[in-house]
Amino acid sequence: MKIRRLIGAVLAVLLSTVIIISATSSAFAQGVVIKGEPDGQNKSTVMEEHFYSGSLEPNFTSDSVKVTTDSYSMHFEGAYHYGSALVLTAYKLKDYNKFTYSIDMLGTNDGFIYCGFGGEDERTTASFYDFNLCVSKGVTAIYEMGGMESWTQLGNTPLNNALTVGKTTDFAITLERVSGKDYKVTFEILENGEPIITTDYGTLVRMEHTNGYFCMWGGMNEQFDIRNFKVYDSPTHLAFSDNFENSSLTYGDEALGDSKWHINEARFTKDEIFISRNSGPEFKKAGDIITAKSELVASDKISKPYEISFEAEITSLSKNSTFGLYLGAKKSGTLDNATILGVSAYDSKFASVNLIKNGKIQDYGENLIPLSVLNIEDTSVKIEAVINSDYSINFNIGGVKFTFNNIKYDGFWGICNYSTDKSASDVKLNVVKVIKNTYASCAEPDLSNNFGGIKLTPDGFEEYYISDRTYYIGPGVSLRPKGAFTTEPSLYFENAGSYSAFAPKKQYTDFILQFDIKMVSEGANSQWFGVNFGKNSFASISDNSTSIKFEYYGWDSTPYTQMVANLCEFDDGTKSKKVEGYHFYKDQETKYNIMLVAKNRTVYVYYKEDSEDISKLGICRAVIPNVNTAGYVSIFGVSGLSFDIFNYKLTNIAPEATEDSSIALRESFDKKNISDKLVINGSASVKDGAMKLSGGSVATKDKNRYYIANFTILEQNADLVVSFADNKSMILSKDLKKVTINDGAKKTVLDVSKYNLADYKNTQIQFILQYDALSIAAKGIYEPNDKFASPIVEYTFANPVNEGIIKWLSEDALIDNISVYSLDNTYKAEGVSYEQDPNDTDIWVSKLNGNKVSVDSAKEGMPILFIVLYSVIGAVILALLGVIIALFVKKRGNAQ
Amino acid sequence: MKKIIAVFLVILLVVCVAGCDNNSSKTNSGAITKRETPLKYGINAHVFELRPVMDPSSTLDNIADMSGVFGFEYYRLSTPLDSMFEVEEGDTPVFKEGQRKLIHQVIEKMSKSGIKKFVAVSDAPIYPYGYSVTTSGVVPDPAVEKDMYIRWIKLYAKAWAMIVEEFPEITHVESMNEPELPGANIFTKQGHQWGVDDGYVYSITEKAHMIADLQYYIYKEVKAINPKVIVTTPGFSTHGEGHDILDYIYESIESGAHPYGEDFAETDPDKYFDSINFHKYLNDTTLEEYFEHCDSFYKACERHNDAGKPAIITECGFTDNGNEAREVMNGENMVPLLEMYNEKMPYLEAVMFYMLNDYSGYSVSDSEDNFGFFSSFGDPEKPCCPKPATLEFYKYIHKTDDVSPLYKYCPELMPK
Repeated sequence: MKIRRLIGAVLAVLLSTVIIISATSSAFAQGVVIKGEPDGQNKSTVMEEHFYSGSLEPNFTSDSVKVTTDSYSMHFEGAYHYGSALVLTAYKLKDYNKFTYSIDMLGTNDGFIYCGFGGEDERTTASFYDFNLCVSKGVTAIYEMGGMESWTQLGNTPLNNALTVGKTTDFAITLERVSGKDYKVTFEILENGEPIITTDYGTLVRMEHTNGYFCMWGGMNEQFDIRNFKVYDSPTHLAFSDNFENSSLTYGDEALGDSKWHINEARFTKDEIFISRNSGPEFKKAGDIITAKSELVASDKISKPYEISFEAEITSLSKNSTFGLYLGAKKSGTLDNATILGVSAYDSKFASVNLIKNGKIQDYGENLIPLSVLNIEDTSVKIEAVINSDYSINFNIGGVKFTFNNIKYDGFWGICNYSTDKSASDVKLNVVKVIKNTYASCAEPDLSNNFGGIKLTPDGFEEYYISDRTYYIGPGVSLRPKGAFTTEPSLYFENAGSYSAFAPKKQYTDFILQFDIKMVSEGANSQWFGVNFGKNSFASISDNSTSIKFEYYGWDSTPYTQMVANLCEFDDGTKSKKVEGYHFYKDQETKYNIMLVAKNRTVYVYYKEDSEDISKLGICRAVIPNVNTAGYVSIFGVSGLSFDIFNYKLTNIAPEATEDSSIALRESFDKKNISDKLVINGSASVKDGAMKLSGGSVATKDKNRYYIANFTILEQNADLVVSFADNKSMILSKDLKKVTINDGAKKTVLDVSKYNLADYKNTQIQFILQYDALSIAAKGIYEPNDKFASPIVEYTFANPVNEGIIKWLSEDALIDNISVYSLDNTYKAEGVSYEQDPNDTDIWVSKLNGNKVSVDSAKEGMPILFIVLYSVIGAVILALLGVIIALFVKKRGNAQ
Repeated sequence: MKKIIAVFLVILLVVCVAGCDNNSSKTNSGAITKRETPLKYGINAHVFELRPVMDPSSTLDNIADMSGVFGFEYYRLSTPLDSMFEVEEGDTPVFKEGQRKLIHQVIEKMSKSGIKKFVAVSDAPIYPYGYSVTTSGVVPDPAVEKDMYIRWIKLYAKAWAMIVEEFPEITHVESMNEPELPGANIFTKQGHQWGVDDGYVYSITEKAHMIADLQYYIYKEVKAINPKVIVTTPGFSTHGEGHDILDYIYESIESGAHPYGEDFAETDPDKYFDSINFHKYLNDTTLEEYFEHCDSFYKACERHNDAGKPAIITECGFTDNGNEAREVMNGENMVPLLEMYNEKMPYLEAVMFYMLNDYSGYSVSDSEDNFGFFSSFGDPEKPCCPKPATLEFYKYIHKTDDVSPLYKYCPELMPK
């Protein structure tokens, strides 16, 4: 017995150790449950009006409010455009040239600002200027003629706070001929006109175009204004000056005429570089109003259809006037039927935040804020309104928050000075920003392909086939040839280039993408593969769209794989991170499973070695929140990388996807036969297009491990049990006020009564089981889908969950619309052969053959009218004939 | 009684006549067999101000001047849609102001030099707002991007309507340049890279379907603005399998497949184009072969019950590859070519030669650089000097032996 006890104790210790190790390894997954960004919508578009044009156009209109301009500048923003630049056409280089100008850094100073010297003509591409001087944070560098290949970095010139967002920096660059083609360069940063930093590069550059042009360009999305641009052709002679008030700018292939500035190569657009005004509409009189040209449209598909913000410089605030946002007006330019949310003076210390409906101030003085919040006669105050689909508005003025309910927001909107007498606040508007959150529905089919589909050649041989109507297969991407050397069919990326990608030709919003990858080449610095999402075009270059990249990083002594969030960020605010524990480029034998889940504007990243246990695929490795995922999804590679892709699966998890597929279970119980992935047990049956559970159950046939599952409760008169692996289950109480989690060994009862689930006539439940975590979300069938982003229950099991069937069981419940989306490898990709491919059909099927109405047929419809007419005429003729014959017979009879 | 019988017979006759008339349809009887109006002549010339990458000496002033000397009546006006418009949200084309002004200047100057008809042509498309392509010339695939395809063709048509409205001097709309050319960079699939033989191309029948769709919408939009504008087919190259493009387009229209995406079908070719437009050069071919090639191409309209459509050749002529022997040979061919146009091709409204000048300061290839009636204005040795074919052409159309006006820019080179 003692020995048995001893063995038992040892086993207990061992088991505890295993549990501790498991718990430690699962810690990585703690808190990373797929749920989406709480504020997220599928797709957001932004309108940002700075009034650069000096008018309300194109976004607003007004009969009373004028836009005033304080100053002018040359405005830069936008992406880097190779070769394109702002060229000073009004001045050609001389023996002495000193360029002075100020730069107001408005946003993003991670990039570079370049000045080019010695362009052959006004249209010369920027990289072929004799040299470029680059200024970025803390660094200046000179690039010699011939472009980026040969450049001289001049080191870390101390730039102090130059190019800091919100600051103005004065620059002076002098280019002076020493002899022949040799020039010396001096770079200065000025303060109050005096140089505080001077870098004398000495005789550094040789100019091929000594009477060439000067240009400026930027990269990496900086936003800045250039002001007070001057050129001296001797230390004392001002040769050119431009404060941009009467300046001129042409673009691309436009005629240069007398233009002072020109955008060469046409890559920078009129939205990226333009002559701008520091302007804003001024509200000075009672009744001053501007109206947005785009009306707001009510939406119940998303939680927060609109987010409106503006910055206001308040000079004075009136007591009987409310300055602020109005919503829901019937007509443009009026406050008919509108609700106003704004601010008025209250006393010498406070302002009142007012809600005005039908011309009446509601509860004046109830919502007070200190006047100091408004920065009157100082800077500006930011006013924000988040408009919710339930007609409530979260109003934020200078950081003080209020919530107003029951506000009809659809209709015309704008900003106004509402007054009950002739008094008015004096306010100038700076920037108005509107975020329109859109729900992008997506009913596209699931796709899966193991690249082993077959097509017969004209000679009768079999070859692998994939539809180029279903998929974009970019340059350098092809199927492996069928034959003895291809042990497993795959999609081969060979020396991948910028456009090497594989993408469905349909757009998806929320999806699960799974594929396996194996390197063919060894990997080198600046090589990567990855996945684009939210692309505008399935074939566009990968770097121009949001993506997750897996980059070979060989700059350190031990190469590793680095994850990079391209044009987006990870949830910790970083853009890159080391892939811990895996190096996808380590050899050419190891296959890896990659999975991305895009849900509610958030992308979750998973991976593991193919040979590892499937549970490893349940560990979330990275999260990219708040990103548009509506668009094309593509797998790509670049820079000569070669690799194979296997077992491609793309599951549409948007609620609009209703068709069952080989890789997902979707059952609406509306058809005669239910999905072959479901099994009915005991007293359960399909009734009126739903599943009636009367002591029996409906269950999945396949065992699932990790998944997203959805179902709708239409009626519930008894507890509803949803069981999954390891005797684990969740029980929704009859009154929907409690959820009991059965861990197999213990039960945890959770109170969910505050969510009032029973109030919904039809309750949609979504539960996600992943690794060791269970998340349950619920919403009414007519509520926005993004409500699923906020779970009502989050539970962590002691161990990672094993695989098992999912079973819905109740004594009395009616459930509907079951869907199960695998987050593991429950379903396998299959090849789609040519004969089975419904997409390879001719879309130009004759309409005439398809019984469509033809215009000619319509014209030919005319004879029908004629037939009727003929019939009538014929009848008349026959009648006449009859009369004639009768008369004739009668006449003859009379004659006889 | 006789009166009643007479009334009856009259009614019968009227009914018969009405019935016969309703059964009428287009037949080959409308074929143009005899020239009724004199053949007109026109010219292609790239104006540097419009296309700054071309020969810098081909300024508007120079081109207008020499077109006037020649007495051309037709000018092929380049209005590439991508350089004419920005596309704003809602697929709204907005004129690029500089380009709009330039086209007005070109029209004004060319009109003063004697041009009466402007054949506007685009060789570069525009795209719906927010749609990006791998290269200009891509057409959204209706099999995979149906909505985008329809947005694209409607935008394209809208842009043409705006051009016709803005420039009332335009008499002909040539919606595209050689879209059916095999292996060309226009009318390609998304994914195509410019100049790369990557297989992202549509078949000739797919192109025919798409061209028919485009023509339907362009015709409708343009005619709504100005019914007098002649909407031609695109200027077809007639190369290789492209020789059959017109047959394919007619077949596509007849099939009832257009306009794609609508629940009705327009099968009347008169709702797609007013005249046939094609290109043909007299290089490496005999005059007889040239005629047969053009004639068989044109007669697709007769094969498809649409006889009587006039035709225009918007590109013709010959390159000399910079070779003097070829120049002489071209000179010998010019008059027979013109006679053939006049006598054997009565359906031709006009022929437009390509080009006014050779290139200098800009080079594509020996062939492409030397299509001109004249050497380049920028040729340092012989600026704007006529070639033998030029002299023959001038003598033929002006019925004169005095060719001195052609030596305006190089008087010292005029033969004594």
